Amino acid sequence: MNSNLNTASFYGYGGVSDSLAGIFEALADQEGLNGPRYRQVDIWALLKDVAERRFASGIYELCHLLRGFGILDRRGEAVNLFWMADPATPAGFRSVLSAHENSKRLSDGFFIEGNVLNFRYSDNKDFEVKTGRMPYLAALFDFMVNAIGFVEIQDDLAMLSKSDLTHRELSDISNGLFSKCYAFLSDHLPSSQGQKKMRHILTFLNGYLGEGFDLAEINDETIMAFWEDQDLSRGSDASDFIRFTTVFDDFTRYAQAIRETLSKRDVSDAKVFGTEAHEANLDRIGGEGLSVAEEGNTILELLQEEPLDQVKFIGKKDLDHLADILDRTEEISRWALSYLRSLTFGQGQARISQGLRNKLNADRFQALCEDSSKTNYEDQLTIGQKLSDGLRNTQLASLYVVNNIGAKENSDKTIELDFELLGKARKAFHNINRQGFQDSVLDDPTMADLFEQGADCLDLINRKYDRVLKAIQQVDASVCYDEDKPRFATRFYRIYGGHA
Amino acid sequence: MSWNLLSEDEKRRAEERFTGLSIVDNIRQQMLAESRERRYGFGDVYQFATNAHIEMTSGLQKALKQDDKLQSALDQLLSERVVYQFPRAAAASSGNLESREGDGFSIQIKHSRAQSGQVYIILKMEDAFQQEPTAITLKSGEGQYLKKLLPLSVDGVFQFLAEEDDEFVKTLRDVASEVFLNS
Repeated sequence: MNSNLNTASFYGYGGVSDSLAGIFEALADQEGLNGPRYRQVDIWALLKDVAERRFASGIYELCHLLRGFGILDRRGEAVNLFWMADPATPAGFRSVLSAHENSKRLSDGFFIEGNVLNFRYSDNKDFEVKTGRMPYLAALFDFMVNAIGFVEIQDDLAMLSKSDLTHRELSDISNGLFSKCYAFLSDHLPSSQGQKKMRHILTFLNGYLGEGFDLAEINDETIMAFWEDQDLSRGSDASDFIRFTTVFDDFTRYAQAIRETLSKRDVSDAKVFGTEAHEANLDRIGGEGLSVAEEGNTILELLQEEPLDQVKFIGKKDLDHLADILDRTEEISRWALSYLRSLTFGQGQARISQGLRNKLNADRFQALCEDSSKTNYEDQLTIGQKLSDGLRNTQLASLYVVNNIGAKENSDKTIELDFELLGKARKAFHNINRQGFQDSVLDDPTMADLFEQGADCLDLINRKYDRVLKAIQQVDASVCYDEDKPRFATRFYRIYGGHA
Repeated sequence: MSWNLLSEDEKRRAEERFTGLSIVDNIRQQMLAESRERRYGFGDVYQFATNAHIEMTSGLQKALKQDDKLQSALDQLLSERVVYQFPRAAAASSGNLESREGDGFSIQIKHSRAQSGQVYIILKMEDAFQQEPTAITLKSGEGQYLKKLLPLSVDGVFQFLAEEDDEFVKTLRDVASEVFLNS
C-alpha cells in the first residue's frame, strides 16, 4: 500500500479512494508528545459525517474557531493553536484558552468565558465555540487541510483573521471551504457507488428469494450464496463484493438501513436525513437527532467523552471491536454464522491478499487457501466470552470503587454488594491496570459518580453484546467450521487463483 | 420487513443510509487492518516543520515524494516558520561549498586538526537576531530532509563536530541543498 494521501487509485470495493481512506488512517496514526493526537471518538464521528457528507455546519463552526485562534496566536497563525492542544482533547483546549485568557488581543467582539470562545460580529451576530467541541473541529481541520491542501486555504485563513470580518463574510468563506471539500469527495467518494451496491444486492435477492421477499427470509446460506455467485470478471459490478467481510457488512447494513427507515415512519426525524442534518452533529451526544444505529455507539462515545474519559473503562482494541458491532447487534445476531465466517475467514482472506502482494509462490498460495485463518469458530467464541467477561469485571471493579468511597464517606450512595460479590469486585479492581483503576481513586469522593455512570454504561454495552454472544454460541462451531473450511478454500482459489 | 413496503422516498433514504454505513465500514476496515503501513498527513508535516526535536522519518519522506499537497505544505511551513532560511547557492557555484553566507547568519565547515575525517560546523549569528535557532534543517536537491539540534551558542556562535562523510555534512556542502534554521 502506498503511504501517500494523494494518489487517485481506488480499492476494488466500496468505491472509496486510497487517498480518502489514507486521510483517516493518517489521523488515527498521528502521534503527539503524549500518545495518539486524536481521540477515537472524534475520528469515528468525523468519518460518519464525511461518509454522509454532513459536515457543512462543522466547517461553519470551524471557521469561527479558526478566526479565534488566528487572532489569539501571536503570529496570527490559527494552525499553531490547534497543535498546541496535545492531545486534542477538551482538557487540551482548555489549557490553550487558559494560556490566552489575559491576551491583549481579546476584545468586546471576541472574548473567552470559561470554556467558551465567544464571537460578536460587526453585523450583530453572536457565536460561541465550546472546548468540548474543539477536538472534533481539530480533526475536521486536519481532514480539510489534507483534502484541500494547506497552501490552497491560505487566502481563506488570512481572510478569517481580518479584524473587521463580518458574519456574512465568514459564512461565505465557510461555504467556499465546504464546496472545496465536497469537490474532493466527488472525486474520491462517488455518491452513486452505495446506490449501485444496494441495487446489486436487491437484484440478487429478487432472483434468489423471489420478488417481494421478506428480510426475514435472508439467512446465512443466502449471504454465502451471494458471495459465491459473484461474477469475478474484470469491470463487473461484483468487484465490490470480493471480500466476504464486505459482503457480510453490506448485508447487515442493507437490513439495518431498511429497519431504520421503517422504524422512523412514526418518528419525526428530519435531522438525520434532511437538509438540517448538521444539527445532529451539534447534539451528537444525547441529542434528539440520533438514528437507531447511532444509539448503540452513543454509549461507547459517552465513555470517551468528559468526564468519563478520566477512566479507561474499555481498552482501545475492545472499543474498536464494539464500535464495529454495537449499532447492528440485531442483524449480527440474526446471521450469527455469517458473523463467525466474517471474523474467521475475513482474516484469512486478508492474509491471502497480503501474501499475494508479497508474491508468495503457488504451493504456498494453495496451502494458504486451504488453511487461511489463524483462528476457528471456537476461538471466536472464546474471544467473545473473554470480551464479555472483561466488560463484566470492569463493571464490578467500578461498583467496588463506588462501594468503597461510599463506605468511607458514610454516604447514602453506597452500593450494597454481598460478601462474595464484594470479594470478586475487589479482585477485579486490582486486576485492571488501565488508567483510572489505581488505589488513589478509592480515596477520592469526587470519583464515585463517575464510576457509577461508567458501571451503568458498561451494563448497557454488555447487555447489547451478550445478545451477539448468545447468538454465536448457538452455532455448532466445530461442525460448521469443518464444513466451511473447504468451501472457503474453493472460493479463495477461484478468486485469487489467476494471480498466484 | 420488505423492500417493497417502502415508499419511493423511503427507498431513497434507505439507499442514502446504506451508502453512509457502507463507506464507514470500508474505511474503518482499512484503518483497522493489521497489515497496513503507517500513513502520514499534514499533522506530521506540521510537527516536523515546527518542532526542532521531531526528525524526518523514511515513511514521511516517502509520503512527501508521493503527495504534492503534502510537499507544498511543508515548503510553505518551512519558509514561514523558520528563524532564517539561507539563500540558495548561486547558480554558477559548483562542487562542494565550504561556507554559506546569509543575512545575519553564516555557516562554515572547517577540518578538525585533532581528528582527521572530522569537521567542525560553525554557525555564526549577528546580534540583530532576537530569536536563537535551536535546530538546522537541510533539504537536499533530491528532496531529502535532514535535521540536527544545535548546541547552545557561545557569543552568537554555534559549533559542533561531525564526521566528514556523514550525510548531513555532504548535504550541507551540496550546492543544490537548501538550509533552514528552526526556532
